[in-house]
Amino acid sequence: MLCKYYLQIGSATVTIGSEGCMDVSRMLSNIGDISLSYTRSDLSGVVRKFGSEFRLIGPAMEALVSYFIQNGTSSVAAMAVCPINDNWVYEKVWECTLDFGTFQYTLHDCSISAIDNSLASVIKAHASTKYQYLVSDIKDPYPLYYDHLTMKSFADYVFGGELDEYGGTSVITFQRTGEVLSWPLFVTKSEVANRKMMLFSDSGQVSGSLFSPGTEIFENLTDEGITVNVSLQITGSCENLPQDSSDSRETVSRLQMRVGTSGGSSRIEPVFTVYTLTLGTSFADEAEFPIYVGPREKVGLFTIGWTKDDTPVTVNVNAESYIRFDILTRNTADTCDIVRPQRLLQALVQSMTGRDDVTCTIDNPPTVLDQTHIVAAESARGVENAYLHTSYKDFCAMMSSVFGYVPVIGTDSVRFVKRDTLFVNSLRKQLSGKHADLSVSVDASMIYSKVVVGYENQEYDSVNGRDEWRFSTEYNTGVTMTDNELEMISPYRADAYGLEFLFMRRGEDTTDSGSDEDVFIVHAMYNGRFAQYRLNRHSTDSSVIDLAPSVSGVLDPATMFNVVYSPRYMVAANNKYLASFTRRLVFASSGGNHDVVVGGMSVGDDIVIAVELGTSMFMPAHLNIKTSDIEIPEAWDGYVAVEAGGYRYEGYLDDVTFGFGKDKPASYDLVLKQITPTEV
Amino acid sequence: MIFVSPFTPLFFQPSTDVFGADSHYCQLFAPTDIIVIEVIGVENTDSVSLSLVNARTRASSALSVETWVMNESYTLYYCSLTGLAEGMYYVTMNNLVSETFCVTTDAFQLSRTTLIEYSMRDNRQRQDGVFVINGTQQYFQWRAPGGFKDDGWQFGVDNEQFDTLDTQVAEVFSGDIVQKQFTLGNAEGCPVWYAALLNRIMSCSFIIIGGDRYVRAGTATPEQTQSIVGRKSFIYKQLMRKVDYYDDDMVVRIAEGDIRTALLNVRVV
Repeated sequence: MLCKYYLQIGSATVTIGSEGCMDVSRMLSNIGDISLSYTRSDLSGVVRKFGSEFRLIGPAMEALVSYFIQNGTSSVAAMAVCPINDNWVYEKVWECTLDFGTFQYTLHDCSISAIDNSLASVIKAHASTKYQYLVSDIKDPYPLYYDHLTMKSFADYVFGGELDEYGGTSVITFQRTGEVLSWPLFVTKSEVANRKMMLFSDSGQVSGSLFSPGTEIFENLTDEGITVNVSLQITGSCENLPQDSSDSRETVSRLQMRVGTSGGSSRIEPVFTVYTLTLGTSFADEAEFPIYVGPREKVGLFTIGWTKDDTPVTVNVNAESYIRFDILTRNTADTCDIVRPQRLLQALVQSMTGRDDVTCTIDNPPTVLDQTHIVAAESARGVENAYLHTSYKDFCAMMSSVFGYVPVIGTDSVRFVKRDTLFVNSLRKQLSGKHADLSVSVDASMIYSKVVVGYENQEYDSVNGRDEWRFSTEYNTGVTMTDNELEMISPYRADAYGLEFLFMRRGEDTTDSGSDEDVFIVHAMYNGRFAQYRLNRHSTDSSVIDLAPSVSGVLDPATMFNVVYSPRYMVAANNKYLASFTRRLVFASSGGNHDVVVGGMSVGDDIVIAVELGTSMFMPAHLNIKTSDIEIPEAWDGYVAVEAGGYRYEGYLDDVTFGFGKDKPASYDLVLKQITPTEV
Repeated sequence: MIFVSPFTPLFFQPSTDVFGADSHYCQLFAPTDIIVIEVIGVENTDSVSLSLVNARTRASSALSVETWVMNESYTLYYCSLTGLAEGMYYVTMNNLVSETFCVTTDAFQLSRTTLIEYSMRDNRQRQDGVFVINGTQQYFQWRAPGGFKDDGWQFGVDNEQFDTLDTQVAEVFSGDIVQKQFTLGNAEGCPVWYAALLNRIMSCSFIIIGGDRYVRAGTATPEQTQSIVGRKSFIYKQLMRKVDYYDDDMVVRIAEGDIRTALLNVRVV
């Protein structure tokens, strides 16, 4: 078609009619090579590219050469392409800057290549760069109300005292009448979910009053009561007392577990933890019971006893005896800043392109995506001036693996759309011209034998972390054609325990942890009454709105959140894509808790990819064809169809190049969707 | 500036060759033919007037000229002539005078001509002819002297074969090709500008000859095969190929009820 080309020397944008702008339509000697191509990469949106070299002669060449000689490496120029329309008006369709790094000239002509400065190529160049943002610059006006998970703390105690020569018994001696003696207990193993809430300590053999320093084994540091689940096994005997003839077996002392405060009241909790120590007898108990420890109260093990006559009494406790405290606690709520995904996207695009006029949207998000928020690890930790570190590539990986959303980059916009909408099951273009050179080939790189879904495996210092299941899960697809592995891993974390541990470390400002640059996604809904975002949890109570799938197999399902980001929901979000090469994912292995059942399905179950017939996105095969139909459709969302050799081929555009300077047959490369025989 | 579109089937002072004797051939039209005259104005402020003059009586009647303003600079002036009474005419456009042409119903004379219809798929290929006038496809018609002579057929084949192990031949695919030579000019030949118009027509997107669609055969151009002695009159041969398909847009953009639809024998692939 007729086309005008304008060269602008000295500026990166073309202003037709300005000084420095030349009509070079008759000075391009390689018009036949100028082409326009549409390419899809990574099964996301189609991008238009105009990578051409321009060969200029005559006055255009002379002007460009003399400009370059004067300006050298600071030269800048651009080319605009304006094809004619049916009203014989030339309309600009494309503009690009010229890359002086490719400039060369002879006595008769010069050549220079175009830089595709389209938004897509700029973004591609910077996609992997990690940017950091001050959270307070991009945060949402409303904070997240983080009301924590239930966490488990525990301590195992063994009895102290002197060990006998066999090491099998602890010997505790008490001396005086009416002596209040705290029993020596040592913590062998413990884990405290929150050090600000409670303290497990060793107790010494201290005679004095109840709960004098060094006598308690547990202290509740909060202003609310804590329930401690005690399980114990004690075997022992009371010995070494001379008996005189008038003795009957006498109660020597009482071994008691007491709860209270020093100087305040104390109580025996519960009543039956009193062991009567009688001379010459042994005692044994194995029990489990809860005790209530009030605000700021302590727990200790005491004997209040008397000797008959100042003669020391020894009690031997079997070394296998133990006491164990198991405590479930939930921290008081904190608030932290959140960032909306769309806002983060806008910031990333601005960092990459330097432009603030690019429209960034997430189109038609489902409820779960609408209620997804981004939390920087530093925000969770309560660090002042928290930063969020991430890259565009990470953002895209999260959007595609968790929600099945991919970017479509236009001239001035970046839109995230559900991948399915790019592969619409409707005809966009029927190749109507004549065609030749048809070839169909299976694309093995689109066939996967293994799929890894989820998030990176994390290691926690705490035993509570064993409850977590939101790590990577491996499935086999049943396909043996290749050994390719499809990774659907989100770099943004969704593990609730990971987030909980970060919140627990608030106040520890000087420590640096490995998770500090991590980014989390959080499932929460805006609550207008409190002007906050509140975590979405499953509810079995019919009067409360159910905001999340059910979960079991974790410590406390009622406080668990982020269930909706489980790997199996990520599979469901990408159903139609996976259906292209498999119908069933067979569970192979997963990191983390295997007992978890989410939404009625166990973590270790196989997943059936249930899609309607004919709606799987595509077949793993490509069609190449050359055609004389060079009409460019307005959009590439639907499929392109061609009939040849008794079959109807429908496929989505992968790549096509159109001759721009001179009309040429178009060579289409389609990702096939389906092949059906045509009726004769 | 105003100029007559070179696709117009009338010839306005086509040659500057003042030597020698002109061709005897007189351009023919049937009364049913539609003669489309297009005049293109570029930055034009003058008026365009077209008149049809009877060559015998010199009676002149003005033709109604329709206008389509294409953009700030270009304006199209056009008119379609049809249903003329038998006679000899010429057309004037402002000061230009066309070659004389004859409108006849004589079956014998018309049988020695072939009606060629031509158009482009859009206006974007050239700026010397408008084929889509404000969204409507416009076909030109030209009645050319000559036609397809039986001795002008050529044959070809597009096939692929290979020799098998047992020295037999296997054919992978095969398609036959027929190319026909269109002979332009009868016994008295025709002027050289007829060959120029034929060459131009062969570069159009849609060419219908005698109701069938044709395409130029490769890079073949009108070849002068014979010259009429003592006159500037020649016989040309143009090789072309018949094609059996019609592009969707050939059909879609023709206005409803247009006489050309009937002529086309529409067949959609």
